Amino acid sequence: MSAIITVDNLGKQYALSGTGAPAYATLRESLADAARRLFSRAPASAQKEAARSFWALRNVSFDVAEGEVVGIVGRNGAGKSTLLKVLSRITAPSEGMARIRGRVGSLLEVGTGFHPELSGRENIYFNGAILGLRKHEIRARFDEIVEFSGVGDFLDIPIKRYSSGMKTRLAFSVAAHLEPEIMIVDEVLSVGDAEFQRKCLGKIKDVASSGRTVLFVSHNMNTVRQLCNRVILLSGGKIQLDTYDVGSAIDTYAVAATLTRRWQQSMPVSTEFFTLNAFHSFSDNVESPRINFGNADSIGIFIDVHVHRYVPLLNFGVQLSDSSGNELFFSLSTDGAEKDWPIQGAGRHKLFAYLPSRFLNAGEYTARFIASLHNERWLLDPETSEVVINFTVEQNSLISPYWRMRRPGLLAPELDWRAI
Amino acid sequence: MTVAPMDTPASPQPTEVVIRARADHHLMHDIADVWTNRDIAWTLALREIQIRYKQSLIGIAWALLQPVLTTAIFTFVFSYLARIPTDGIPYPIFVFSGLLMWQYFSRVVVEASGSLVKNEAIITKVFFPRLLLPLVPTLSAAVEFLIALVVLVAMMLAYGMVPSPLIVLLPLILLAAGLLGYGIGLVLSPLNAIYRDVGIALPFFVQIAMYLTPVIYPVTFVPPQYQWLYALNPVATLIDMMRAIIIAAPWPGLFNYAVLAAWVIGLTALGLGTFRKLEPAIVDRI
Repeated sequence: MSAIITVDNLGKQYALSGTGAPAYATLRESLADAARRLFSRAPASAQKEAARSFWALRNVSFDVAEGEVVGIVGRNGAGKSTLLKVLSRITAPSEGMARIRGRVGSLLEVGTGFHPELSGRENIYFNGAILGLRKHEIRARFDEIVEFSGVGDFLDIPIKRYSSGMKTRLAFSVAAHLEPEIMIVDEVLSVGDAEFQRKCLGKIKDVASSGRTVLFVSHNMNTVRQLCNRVILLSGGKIQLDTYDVGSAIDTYAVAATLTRRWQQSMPVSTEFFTLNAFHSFSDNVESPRINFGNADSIGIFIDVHVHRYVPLLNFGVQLSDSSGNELFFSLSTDGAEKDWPIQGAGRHKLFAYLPSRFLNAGEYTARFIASLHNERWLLDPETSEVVINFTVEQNSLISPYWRMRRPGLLAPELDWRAI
Repeated sequence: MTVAPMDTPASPQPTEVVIRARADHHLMHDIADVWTNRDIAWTLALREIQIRYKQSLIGIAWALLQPVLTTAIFTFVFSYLARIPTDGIPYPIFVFSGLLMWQYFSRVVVEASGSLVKNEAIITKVFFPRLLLPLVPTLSAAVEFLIALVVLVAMMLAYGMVPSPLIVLLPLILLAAGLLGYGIGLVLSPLNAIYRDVGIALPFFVQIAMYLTPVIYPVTFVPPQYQWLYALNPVATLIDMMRAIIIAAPWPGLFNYAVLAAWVIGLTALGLGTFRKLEPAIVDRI
């Protein structure tokens, strides 16, 4: 079978604009810069130019056969989105080439091109045209699009009155009905409610099972496992692993992710609101870190933080994921009633919380420190927070004579079964 | 980016896309891309018009009201007060016909120059030929031109004048004006994305340019030793052609057409060159 996508030695170089510099410049600055360059030696400025750029993607080569569903995984900044942008022709590569046989429908961001003043109906036509559909093709699929999106009653009111969920649903519906030979999807499923996410996943599965090709970027390893028959793991702009063994690729990714993200306790983390002094797991003694637990041990999380600017919105917490990168839950210091919040003002605070007992399955876990201004913004978010610790849970104390093996499933709580 | 001919004629979408570094792109492929995606230009132009009048009380009537009011003011100031002679043509008709062409041209220039910045959200998320974006105002402004043209014809009938059948040549003039504005837009839109100064300065220069163009006065009003300068102004030639058609004013000389053609070809070429050179950087930088 011939390849539907051929990627040959693809590379993309970006110029680094200095920290915080605006994306646009003024004419005056550029003229001054040009004048400076005129009077300084050219090689020096060329060197400077090279130092201020980086390769987001380099030496990337692979073939995709028709009908493959390829998961592209990797840490933030590994080059996933750049690869998809190049393949969707949004940005041109700096070197190498790619050959694509067939129409590409790329869904890099839902709602692209929606105009708030126009109605849902008008926006469907516009969005469809932007994504590459002819007018009659949109007309032919119009009813299907509307039905899938579930916004049929609001078709003639301006998009600006739509909820963000409605907008997302409508945008995905348009994109999903493009019927391209190749579908490129970037993490868009993280939006919308759970019910609609399921619907979207189902739609992507339909696309895949109808023999069309899908490239799919996700941080959610469960989704990758469900959808993909091949995984390409990117790291630092290069292909680290390209395999049909999806399970092992996910494990490799998870290990790489935890290894490179391990937080040094000696590294204090500061934001404008607080400084984090310590973050660790423990068992009985709060202030003595521990990373190996038996399933019967109590597992606690300790946070030592100095708040220098207190606002009631401020909260701290932990996000727990398993070794495959599945997020199990997150828990915040403001989960309880307001009067019980452990942080009520500025100063140094030491917090701890225990996980429910006999709750986690055997395996490796990652706890990530997260902080936010509630409903406003993340200070350290679950995606990028570098404050990460790992611990393991071993199944060494099972009470039941029947429970010997590691249980299937993400968790292994021991419930208290009783007779009435 | 390039679209090569299809290799399997049976496939409904004749697409094999080769994505390669910018340096290896060919102009003809880019132009072919524009043609393949012309639907998008129409859709964008229609959207432009819809949005402009969507929330206004009198809607599309603004497209009529603006030139009519401007004509009324200009007639009062330049005809009644300043008594600019117009070779026997009623001043409102004279100024309206010039104004229509000037507004079409200036609108294309200003909007095409701002097109990349304005559509930033789209160009960083979806692929379509970016050469289309500065093209959109040539279409949307043409719709308003046509609406205002109806008013002009009505005004002429009211003055007992009948438009010449040569009016069928108007699309050609509009095409030349559109290309002229498109060429300038192709140069300025990427510059505007990098240096916002362009967007700030442009309306000012457009305003000045109007007074250097025979919109509110005829070229014959200018001292004879300076009249040759107007032959170098392509928009002056376009306006003279418009007036020749509409109100039977004299046609410009052959030299003027040659200059006009040189401008159209030169600016379009310069525009395509500039745009294609700067465009990839814009997408990464905007």
